[in-house]
Order: sequence, then structure tokens, then C-alpha cells
Amino acid sequence: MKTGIKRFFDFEQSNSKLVAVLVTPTLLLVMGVVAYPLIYSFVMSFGNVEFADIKAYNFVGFFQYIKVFTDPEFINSILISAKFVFFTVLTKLVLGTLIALMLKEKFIGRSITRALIIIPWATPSVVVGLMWKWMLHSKVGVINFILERLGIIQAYIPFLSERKFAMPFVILADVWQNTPFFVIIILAGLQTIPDDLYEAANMDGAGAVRSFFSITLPLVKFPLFISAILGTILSINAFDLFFVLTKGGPGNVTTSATLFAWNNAFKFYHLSYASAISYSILLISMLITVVYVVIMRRKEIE
Amino acid sequence: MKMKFFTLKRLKRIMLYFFLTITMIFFLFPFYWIVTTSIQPNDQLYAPTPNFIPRDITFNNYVNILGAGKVNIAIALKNSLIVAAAVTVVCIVFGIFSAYAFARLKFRGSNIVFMGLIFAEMLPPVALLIPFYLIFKQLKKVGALMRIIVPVSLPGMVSSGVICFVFSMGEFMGAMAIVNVTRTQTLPLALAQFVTKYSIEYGNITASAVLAVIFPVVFVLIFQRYIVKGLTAGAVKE
Repeated sequence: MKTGIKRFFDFEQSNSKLVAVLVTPTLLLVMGVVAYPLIYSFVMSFGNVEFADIKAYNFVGFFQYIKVFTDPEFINSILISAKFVFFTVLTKLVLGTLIALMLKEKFIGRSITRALIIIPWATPSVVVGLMWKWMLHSKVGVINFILERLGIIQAYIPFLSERKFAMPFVILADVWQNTPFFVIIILAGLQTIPDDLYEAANMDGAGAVRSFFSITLPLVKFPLFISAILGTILSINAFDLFFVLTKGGPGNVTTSATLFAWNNAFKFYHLSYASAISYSILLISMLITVVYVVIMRRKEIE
Repeated sequence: MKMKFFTLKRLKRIMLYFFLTITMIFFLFPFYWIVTTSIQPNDQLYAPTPNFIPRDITFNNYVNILGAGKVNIAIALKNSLIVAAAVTVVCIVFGIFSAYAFARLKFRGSNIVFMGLIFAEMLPPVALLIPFYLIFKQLKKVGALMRIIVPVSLPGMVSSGVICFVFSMGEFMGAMAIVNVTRTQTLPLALAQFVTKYSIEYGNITASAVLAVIFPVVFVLIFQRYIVKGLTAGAVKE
């Protein structure tokens, strides 16, 4: 084996110049395309551009950022996003784990089931929004119909126009769409656990619940954390569902942080302000990620 | 010993199948619903009780949206596919080279660049849309489709090709900011139009939703093994 690896590295070294020539221009191009808008929008956030009038750019330092953090509407949208992120990630983690546990078992049609479960995640968010909008229709929606038949509600409710229900249903639509993402990752983690561990525990008298908490949970910590972090960032940046389902909800009950940024950018054309909002959201995302990583490191040391 | 039929193992099996069924119904019912909605005549859709099994079947809605009616989905669909294909190619090509560079070559500042890419992915897309919107307002010569392809590739450049396709077919916000000409609409945009302009014709809406779903879904079903591998490659420690 050693000679094989050595050969591989020799190949690397002798061709490294060729490789560098091939890769560098592409990499530069990628960096350029990615970096340019990043820097552009970053600089925007320190300006005072309204509408498409870039020539009127003035450098105003942290003015926009101060405005952002003292804007009650921004704070409100952050709280709404926080609520959204918290509930969706939590639900997706729990549901995702439960479903992954089920999909780990052997049963007829398991492969098909595993393939089918990915489909909601592959559906364009706009379509997901329209699907749920139709099912939640206040006059002829199937959900209203079923709930009334089951006696859970007395009269049809216009869910997405009700302050109490708008957010929960946006959460539901997101959970429906993105739980498969969690399921895939967690299932992959579950599959790395060897069966003999469970057999040994069984012989020692451990029940199903005990096995889960003592064997399963510790060993899928990493997939759980990864899906939680990714899921959190995706939820913070979620836009399409909010736009299609509620456009900010009755009043601004479902105006998430990103929707708030969008409104400022393309509804009111406060382009610099919107840039500052976006970078503030990024800042918060980074802080949350740091918190996640710190917790993860600490749990690994234990 | 009649109780032998209901062994604990049997019971667990029954529970497993039960919950699996509920789960699959939960995740798949909406698809069934939009398909059946899209093939029913409009008057039946607004009847007092919804039909779980359609009484009459018509393909009128599809005819409407593909040319006859007020909104033409065919163009949007074609555009979406073109964009998705182009974005995927761009993603794969750039992705391979960039990934290779980061993995093999140690050049000064590679860490910073990598962090930059991560930030680009974490940043709310709105921030990147603003520069694109401004830049493309000035570049009138650039083809409209190109205007969509470049910004849509942006988040995808860090991901793998298959996921790229799925995401780019779903890409909505970017396209909405940049394109407001019907001729070059992509599918999600056209669908969103239904929301604002035609608040009642859910037959048409669901028909276009079905068309919009078919491509990513089929694509995902074919490539699902690779998707799973791609998603979990970094997530599972060996």
C-alpha cells in the first residue's frame, strides 16, 4: 500500500505546475464573481443609496447599522425569525430523528420509502407555498374541510389571515418541506452504528428507550449538530415561503428578518439600509453558529 | 396460548407500519392534492365539499396555462430548465476546480477565501441581489437569461451539482429581483404571478405547480443516492 500512495504523491508533484495553471484562472474567476457582489453590497451598507441612484452614494459610516439596531420593526422581524427558527429546527430535529429511526428498520418497500421522502425537499419553495396556500384556503381548503369534519373546528378559519394561525402554518409548511433534509443526514449517522452494540445492550437487559438514550443519541451527535446548524442558517434565510404564503402576514406578524430586508430593498428601495439589514442578519447568524460550535466542542470533550 | 399472536415483536411491527403510513401520507398527500385539483373542472373545485377522488377529469387547466389562457407557462418552464441546466454546468465546473484548489493547493489566503465563501452562503440572499440588480440595470446588452444565470450560480458555487439543479429550479428571489419581463420569466416567477394576479383560478395554479414539480422531483428520484451521499459526506464521521 505504501508504494501505491507514494506513487500518487509523485504524480501530484510532477504535475502540480500544470494543475496550478489550470485551476488558478478558474478559481480567480469564481472568487471574482463571488467577491465582487459581496464587497459591493458591503460597501453599499455604509452608504445612503436610495432607489437605483448609485451616483448619489455618500459614505456615512455606521449610520445605517445604528439605524438597523434601533429600528423597532427590525427588532420585531428578528424576534419573528427567532421564533420561526426555534420551532422549525426543533420540530425538524425531533421529527427527523423519529422518522430516521423508522427508516433504519428493515421493511417491505424501504428503498422506495427512503426515495419518496426526499421529494418534499426537492420541491421548489414557491410550489410548496402554493400547495399549502391552496390546502389552507379559507373557503374550499381541504384542511378546513377535514378539521371541521373531525369536529376540531366549528367553522372554516382563514388560517393565513389570522394572527394566531399564520405563523404556525408557515412553520408547518417549512417543516413539511425541510424535515427530509434532516432525515437524510440523521439516517446516515444512524447507519454507522454497528448492530452488535444494541445486541450487547439487549443481553444486558437494556430496553428500547434506554438503548436509544445511551447508545444511539451519543453516536449521532455529530449529524444532529450538523443538520441543526445548517437547518438554522437555512431557516434564518428562509424567504420564499413567507413571500408566497403571507407576504408578511396579517399586519407584520410573519415579517421575517429576510422579508423585512427584502421589503426595504425592493419595495421601498432603501438599498443601503437593506444592505445593512442583511449584514446585520449575517452577523447574528455568525454569532449563532459560533454558539453552536462552542456547544459542540464542549460536548465532544465530555 | 392464544396470546402468541400478539407478541411484542408483532406489536412493534404494526406500530412501525402504522406510523410509516401516517408519515408518508403527510409528506405525499399535498402532491396528490395538487394533481387531482389540476385535473378537475373549475366549477367542481369550488363546490362546498372537496372531492378526494375527482368526479370529472379535464385537462383544460393544462391547455390554459400552456398557451390558450392569460398566462403562458411554457415559456417560463423552458426558461427555468435552461437556467437550471446552465447553473448546474457552471456549478459543477467551477465547483470541481475550486474544491480541488482548496483541497490540494496551499496558497496564501486560502483560508480567508474559504471563509468568504461560507459567509456568502450564510448571508441573506437579499444582500447579494442588490448589487446584481444595480449592475444588471446598467448592462442592458447582456442577455436576460444570463442575468439570471450568474446570480443564481452564486450560492450554488459552493454546493454540488445535483443539489444545484434542485435549488436553481426553486430559485425565486434572485429571479424576481432581476427579471420583470414576462418573456424571460422563470417558472417560480410565473407561479408567483398567479398569486398576485389570479386569486381564484386554483385549477390553473395547481396545474402549473404540477409542471413545476415534475422536473426536480424526477431528477431527484433518479439521482437520490448521489444526493444522499453528497449531503452526508461531511456530516457523518467515519
